[in-house]
Amino acid sequence: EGDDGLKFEGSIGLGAILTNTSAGTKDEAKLNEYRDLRSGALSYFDIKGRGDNRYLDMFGENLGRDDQYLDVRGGEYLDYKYRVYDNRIIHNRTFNAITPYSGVGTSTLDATFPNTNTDTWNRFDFATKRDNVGAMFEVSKNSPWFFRMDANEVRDKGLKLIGGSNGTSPGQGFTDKPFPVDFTTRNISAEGGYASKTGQLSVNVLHSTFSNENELLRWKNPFFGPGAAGSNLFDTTTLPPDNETNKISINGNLRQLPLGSTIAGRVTYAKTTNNFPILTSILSVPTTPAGSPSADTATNPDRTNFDGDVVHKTLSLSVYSNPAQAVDTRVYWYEFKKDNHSPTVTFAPSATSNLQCSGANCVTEILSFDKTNIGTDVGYRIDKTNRVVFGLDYVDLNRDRVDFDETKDWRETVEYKNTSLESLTARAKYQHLQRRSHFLEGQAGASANDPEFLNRFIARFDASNVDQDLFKIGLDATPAELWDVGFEGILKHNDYKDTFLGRTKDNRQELFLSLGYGDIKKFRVLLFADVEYIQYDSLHRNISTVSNGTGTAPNNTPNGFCQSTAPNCYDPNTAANNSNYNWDATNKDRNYAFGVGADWAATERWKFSSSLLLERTYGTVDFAVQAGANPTVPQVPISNYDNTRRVSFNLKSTYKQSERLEFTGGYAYDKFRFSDIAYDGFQYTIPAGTSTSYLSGAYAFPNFIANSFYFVSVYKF
Amino acid sequence: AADADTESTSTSARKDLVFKGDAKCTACHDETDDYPVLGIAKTRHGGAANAVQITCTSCHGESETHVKKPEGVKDRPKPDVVFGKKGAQISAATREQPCLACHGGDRHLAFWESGRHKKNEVACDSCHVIHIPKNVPLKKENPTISPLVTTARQLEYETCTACHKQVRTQLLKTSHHPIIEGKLKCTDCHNPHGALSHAMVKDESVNQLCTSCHADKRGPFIQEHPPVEENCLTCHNSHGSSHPRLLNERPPNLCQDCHDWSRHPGTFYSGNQGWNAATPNTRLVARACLNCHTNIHGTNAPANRGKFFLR
Repeated sequence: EGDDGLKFEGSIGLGAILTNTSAGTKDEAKLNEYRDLRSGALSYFDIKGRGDNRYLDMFGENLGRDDQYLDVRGGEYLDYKYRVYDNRIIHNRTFNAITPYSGVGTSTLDATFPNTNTDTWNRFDFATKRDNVGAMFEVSKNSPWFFRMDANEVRDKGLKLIGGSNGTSPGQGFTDKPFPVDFTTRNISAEGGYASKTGQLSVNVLHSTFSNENELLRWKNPFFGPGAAGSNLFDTTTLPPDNETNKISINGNLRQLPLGSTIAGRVTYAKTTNNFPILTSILSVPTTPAGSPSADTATNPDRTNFDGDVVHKTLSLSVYSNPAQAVDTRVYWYEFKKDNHSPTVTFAPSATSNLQCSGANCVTEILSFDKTNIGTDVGYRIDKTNRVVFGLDYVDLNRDRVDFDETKDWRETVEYKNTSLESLTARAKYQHLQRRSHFLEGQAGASANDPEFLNRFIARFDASNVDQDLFKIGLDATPAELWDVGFEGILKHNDYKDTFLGRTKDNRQELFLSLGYGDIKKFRVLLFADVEYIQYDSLHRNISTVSNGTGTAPNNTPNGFCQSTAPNCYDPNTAANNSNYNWDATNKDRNYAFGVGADWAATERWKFSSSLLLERTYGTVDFAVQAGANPTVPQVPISNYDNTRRVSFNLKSTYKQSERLEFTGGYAYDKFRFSDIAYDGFQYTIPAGTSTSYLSGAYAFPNFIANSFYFVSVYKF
Repeated sequence: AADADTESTSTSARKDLVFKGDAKCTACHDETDDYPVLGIAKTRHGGAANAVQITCTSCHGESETHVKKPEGVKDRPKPDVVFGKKGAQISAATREQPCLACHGGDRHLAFWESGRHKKNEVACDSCHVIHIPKNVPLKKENPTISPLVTTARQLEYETCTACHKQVRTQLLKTSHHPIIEGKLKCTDCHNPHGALSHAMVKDESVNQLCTSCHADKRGPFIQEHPPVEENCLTCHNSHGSSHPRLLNERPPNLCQDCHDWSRHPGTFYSGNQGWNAATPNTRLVARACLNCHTNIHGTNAPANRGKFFLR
């Protein structure tokens, strides 16, 4: 019995884990991606205090480890409650990556290029640690009125990786660059209101700030060197900017209205702002005279500072009713508006700066859009065990985009549920979505020789016209005492019917099976098998030779236009040649997962649990080119697009020595295999003279085999 | 359990164990039942027994025919309200009533009637257990099947994926949020008790939800990438993917589904252009398009370096 009248009981565990990886494991980051399985001490505590009026729950685990978790909750029943927590999340991507740069961990990366001797490079871990510390307090004093405050601070520290083309364009290779992550996000919110069974109204205000200690990364560009004039200069990559978000939301509902109705609504207003100076120069190399050295080159923005200002406004309303015993309805209305008040910036670099956009000034694009969504669901209970639900949903989205400015979605849904057998619940769903969009590029380009002309045929799948059909069935059965069978099947087909260039179709076929037997308190076994097949079909146009605008045939057309010997190259309906042709890709992903697990309380003292998980993913791409084209690069299919195999086995045993003492021991085997065209045979450099690419090894060696043994002794009180 | 037919004498002999008036039930139902009931004493419901006047019949109904089995009836009738599988044929509206009788005014249930769980007849007892003391009172009816995690907690996703089987598979994929590791919960993003947003996400839109944790993606940026600003899910699957960084499709294909132009955006990258080639193609190996177009979520770089997300 504690002084505060709380009666405590709980458990404290102390132990250790020993993890050993096989000799072939080059990088343990994937093994420890979100887990800290390194050999060391394990600990946890779970303490509950109960009083006549108060409670206090204290939980902590993995103390001192990278994935430590602490959670304290308490309060007085009906009067107030509080919570304090600390959740540490690691994200290990690659250990022992390497880079030719010095200054890793700072915002300035220096190097002397070329340097293809990886023995001289510096090592770093591509990994971040997130520490989320926060608290909450809520008081209601056993009344409908309540007030709540939440506050937390999230610190992200470590190193991430950013690429970037060498020189002035992607044609000159690229270089991996580690940049320091030193982010802090602070959130504080307050909510107050009235909540009863007949109605609720609350107001919530949030203040959130994000700060980044390094908003610019300065780095030596391998294309400019060695010893060339300007090779001592640094290139610049921009990193996430500081920002501040303030938000107010009002939530409410009214219940017990006529026809068993409930009206619920929400209004929100959120404003995100920032302010920073615009880069007025950046490393470049003037196009003339030939051989000009690289130099910090003026970008000539039309303003010196960027005042970011984005406002999100939403209005939501939902009316639920029971007009008859067998009928329930829901009507909803959702308005969303994103107003981007940030300035559009025009950069006017000189014609020779190598900084122009398609030979002209660069004008930035910022997006605003608004969305109206209205819909209804009507549920009808045919009899005690049969129910059908009809749904209609309409979305009208208007956006500031150069290709599609308006999209309208119509979605019709019918769902059926049957529980006529006490041992079987069956569900079926069909949904049809029709999306129609207003395309703005139908007249793009003056002629089929103009690069802009191609935009007449490109329809981006996120906004293009689509017909979607979705079928879903599900069964949950208990055919006999202690037996459970679950089945779910999904078929989904998207037909981007009016798309010429871009994604034209995608399909999903998914099957999920599970079979369970037994009583979880005694012996329970579960088996599941999941199969997923996804296919993306797309059509594209290759235009590999265009005019350089020198004025002599075949380049006697403007720069970037079709050469005079291959006219109308930007029209996909033009007959193919070896330089200009259409091609299509079929991208298939196949995923398989099989799992079996069992929990067994063998005796009063002994408990066992075990699981085996097998996963496989296969990705492939097949290519085909337009008849009449015989490109120099053959269409070799890709057979290893994120192919993975994982085997995870766990065996755990718990021995109850007494009511006070318990011992847990376990073994885990974890194996991961990865094969991918982008990494199989990986090298740290791609030699190409001044266009040599410098890689870090990120994601290149994730294979591992790990054996973990752990032991925890638990004292209960 | 004690012989249920002798409940009249048992009841008078027994005292209330947890709640006022529970002897009516605990005369027969105790820890030897198939479903031990007395664990409720160690839950917050049990702890609050004095503060809130609840007892067994508050949830299960007076159940007179269950307590006093009518003569001539072979099997003892069920209580008025039963939960879990035994109550599968009892409507969700009936099963949720005992909970809503006390919790109907809870602020976190403000949008219960607006949510898909209510629409799909998911009741409180579909997810919650009442009699078993737990840190989080959620059902866990099956063994855990996942790679080793060093947590002693019951993880929330095991309750959710009992129904959401598609999500079960996605969470186990090679690229996933740290949910099976217990560092994130389904309820960090979704409100299973109802929401006015699609998929019952906690924020007003997907992007506002994502950037509440990924605040570095909030911008505002000088140069935006339109689909990023509109919906993160155009390129990412938040539950899991077999492709890196939760991408729906593998770059360069994902990028080429939208971007076609002369030279490299419209070029196919063939199976003989990986590291097996004399000169590997820099648009296919490593992170493909993202090797160069690196600030794809938005950038503050000037001129064409920003226009093409190169810096």
